[in-house]
Amino acid sequence: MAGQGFAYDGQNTSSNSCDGKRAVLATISSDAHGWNLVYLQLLLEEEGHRVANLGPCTEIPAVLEAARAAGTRIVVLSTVNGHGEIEAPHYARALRARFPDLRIVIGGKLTTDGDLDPRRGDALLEAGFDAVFTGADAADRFRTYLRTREQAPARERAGAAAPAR
Amino acid sequence: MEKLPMDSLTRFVDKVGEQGRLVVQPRMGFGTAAHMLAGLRAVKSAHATTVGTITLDSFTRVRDFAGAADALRTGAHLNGFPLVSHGPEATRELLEQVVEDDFPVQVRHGSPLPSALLRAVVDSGLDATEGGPVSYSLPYGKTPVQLALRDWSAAVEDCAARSPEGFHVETFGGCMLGQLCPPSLLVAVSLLEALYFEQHGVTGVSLSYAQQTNLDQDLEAVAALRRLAGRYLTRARWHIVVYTFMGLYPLSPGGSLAVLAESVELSVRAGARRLIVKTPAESYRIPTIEENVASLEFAAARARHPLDPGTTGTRAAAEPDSEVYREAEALIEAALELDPDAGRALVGAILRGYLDVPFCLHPDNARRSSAVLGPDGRLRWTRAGAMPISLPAADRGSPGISSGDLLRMLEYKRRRFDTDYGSAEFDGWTARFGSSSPDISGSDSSGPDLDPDPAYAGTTGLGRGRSTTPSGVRT
Repeated sequence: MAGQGFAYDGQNTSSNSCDGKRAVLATISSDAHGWNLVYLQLLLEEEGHRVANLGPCTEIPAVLEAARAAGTRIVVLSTVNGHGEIEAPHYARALRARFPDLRIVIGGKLTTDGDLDPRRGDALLEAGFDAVFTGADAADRFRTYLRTREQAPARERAGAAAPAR
Repeated sequence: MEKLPMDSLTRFVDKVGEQGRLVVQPRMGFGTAAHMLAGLRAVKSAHATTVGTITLDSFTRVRDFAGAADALRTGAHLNGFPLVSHGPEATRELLEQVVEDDFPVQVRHGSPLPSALLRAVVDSGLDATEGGPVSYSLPYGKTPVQLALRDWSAAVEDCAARSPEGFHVETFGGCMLGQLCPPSLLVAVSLLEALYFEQHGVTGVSLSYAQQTNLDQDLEAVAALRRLAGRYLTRARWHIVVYTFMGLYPLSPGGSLAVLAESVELSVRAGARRLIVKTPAESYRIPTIEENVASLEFAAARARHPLDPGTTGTRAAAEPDSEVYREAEALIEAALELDPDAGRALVGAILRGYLDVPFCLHPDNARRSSAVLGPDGRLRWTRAGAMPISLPAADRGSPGISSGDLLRMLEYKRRRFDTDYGSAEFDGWTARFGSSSPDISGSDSSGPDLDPDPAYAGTTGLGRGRSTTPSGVRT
């Protein structure tokens, strides 16, 4: 379902009438990029979510507050400035401490020196992310993830699920 | 007529402009004074009519002066010149070795709250900068526009008061997000910020316009901007500055040079006096000094013969009463109706959605507008929100764009120019950029580069010696 041109309601959530499934979309505080967030909002809406797009340079408290809203099913962190590996674990830990069952994923360009090797990806999973999406077809894999994994009733433990690559 | 003082940038640009020469300028910033000086010297001695640039680093831009100072101390890589941390004496020493009447220097930064930074600029003897309360806050972060306005007003008035020879501010309003904004809104923001600077004591202003995806539309836009500047600016000296395309840049040297060549053609035909260039390294990393010099010299060579093969527009002159002109005028008037102070007018208009930048995620942006690229690259509105723009019947109620649509629109310029000019050599110029396109197969290629510009350092992670500073903005 195509995006509605970013029409927003008072809660800063897209006003697509999708039942119940709300996604919080954010980036890390040092990242001023916006097009990745614009793109992902459209993708999430196409996969049936209402999206609270927090925009560039998002601080942890704002993400926590947004995640409290009713119907929040997933928090998506997208960052492309290369600092995700350093900053994102703080977001995961803060979210995980308050929302043990919330699905939390991260994607983008997370390092400054090339691909995320498996050990560094595991560190992100250990911090609390359910899945990590980097590499050339990350967007497609994320879309597949939304269609399949989100059907599962409970959040899978990091050890049980192979990390998405 | 009142004889106003003239800042160094205005004086030089007007002098050579009257001789019919286009000024070309790079973006450039290095951490150490020695490296910055080397860059400025190279730009000065380039075979082109140039102006120097000092681009500030990301730490300085976000007012983390301690972070910038630490990086200087430890020798960590900085993605710009930490002017505040170097201090006025060291900066003056650097400038004394390169600045002269025929080589002014401008400071570019990207800071929505610039007062401390601009104080240091004036302390260092510099008299030209860039930005704006709206153009430097909406595209990047979350600084409330009202807060940015307060700080910009204080900063700009202080700069003007302390610069008896005149002070120059260039508005970044003609760029905003760098892509997918119909030109009338860019023209309106550019004009309103320039007027705002004039109202707050600035004696020399430049109005920016960033090259978009259709040359004829861009020619209309710059013609509209010139006509509106002539109408609304009554005291400050002004000129138009064009930015080479600020969106996803071609990957091939030929495609890159073709975009740069088109921006030169736009500047020359539309009467802009200055052009901020891009280099073929754009999609990969921060350019080297040599790459910047080569781009400046290529642009200068093209300016001498702007209508050589490789241009893309029709040869018709832009009509003076174009749709872009009429739309921009309506936006400007709607804003100025709110307040005679152009800054308060701008902020009021944004908060009411009379100005609504499509795809802009800033909390103060209304987010009710939308736009698309036509098959010929012309930008048009599909949703106007509260803006005083009427959509043609065909566009009303158009469905929203899909994620695939967005990607195609963002990649349009890159795809078109890589396809049409990928193997072009431009009389051997591409050889000067041969090393710009690294083998990307081994790189971090996490999908398409969606955002080369807001991060000064590029988004692919391919650069060598990358900094750990917060990713700043490309201005």
